[in-house]
Amino acid sequence: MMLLLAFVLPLIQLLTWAIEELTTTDLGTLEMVFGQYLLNTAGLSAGAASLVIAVALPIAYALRHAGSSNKERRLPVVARLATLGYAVLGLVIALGVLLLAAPLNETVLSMTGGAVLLSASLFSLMYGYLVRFLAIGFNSSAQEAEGHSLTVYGESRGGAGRGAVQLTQASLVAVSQEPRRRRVAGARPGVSSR
Amino acid sequence: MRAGIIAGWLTVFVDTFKELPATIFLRPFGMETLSIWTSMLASESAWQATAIPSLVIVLANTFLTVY
Repeated sequence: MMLLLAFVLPLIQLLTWAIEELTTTDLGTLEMVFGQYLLNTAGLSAGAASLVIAVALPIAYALRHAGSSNKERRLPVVARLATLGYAVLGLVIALGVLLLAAPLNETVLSMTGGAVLLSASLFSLMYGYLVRFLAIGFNSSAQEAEGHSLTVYGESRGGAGRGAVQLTQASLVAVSQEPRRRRVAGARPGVSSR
Repeated sequence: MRAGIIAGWLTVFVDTFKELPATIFLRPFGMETLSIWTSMLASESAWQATAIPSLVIVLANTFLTVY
């Protein structure tokens, strides 16, 4: 019922509008513009997603292999700070990136002889996307990096008795038997499934 | 390991696909995306015309999320 109200009805409305629009307007211009926009959107999203994963994976691995030295114990805090952007509005991040890019713009322009424009370019856009969506990429990579690893068994075996080993094994099995979709849906900041 | 990377990649892809405010402010000149197109049409009260881009966004994201 809720699905019908929240998803199917609006979808039907959109479909009828789209069909009307397609039958009444000139398809030539629409096709030309539409393909370009779709390519732009998909290209931006693919680039941003790849960038976010490329940045998030090293953080997740550093966090997993962090030792107990004074410096490395601060890593979780740093990772939390790095993924704070997801809680901030996109507009605020855009303004922040613009404020950062504006003073740098002149310097970079003169250094590269006018070849590289920093603000209102792909650089700033990708940087904004990275700040905004690092949390998502980081959480899912961190969950996988922490997941069912053999070192967890090893540590529990070395540090505690048999009961602890069985407990760890039971919880690991429970985690691994959890449906995949729930774990993906749980990969949001603040909602850790573990 | 690989499943986590793919899941994260797809989630970020879906979120950037429909991201509007940051894209409007930071995009290069003349670069339009589907969400910007939709908001432009909506601000001109061309509700019927917004159907096509928004339908594409909805369908692509639904497919990727279910997948």
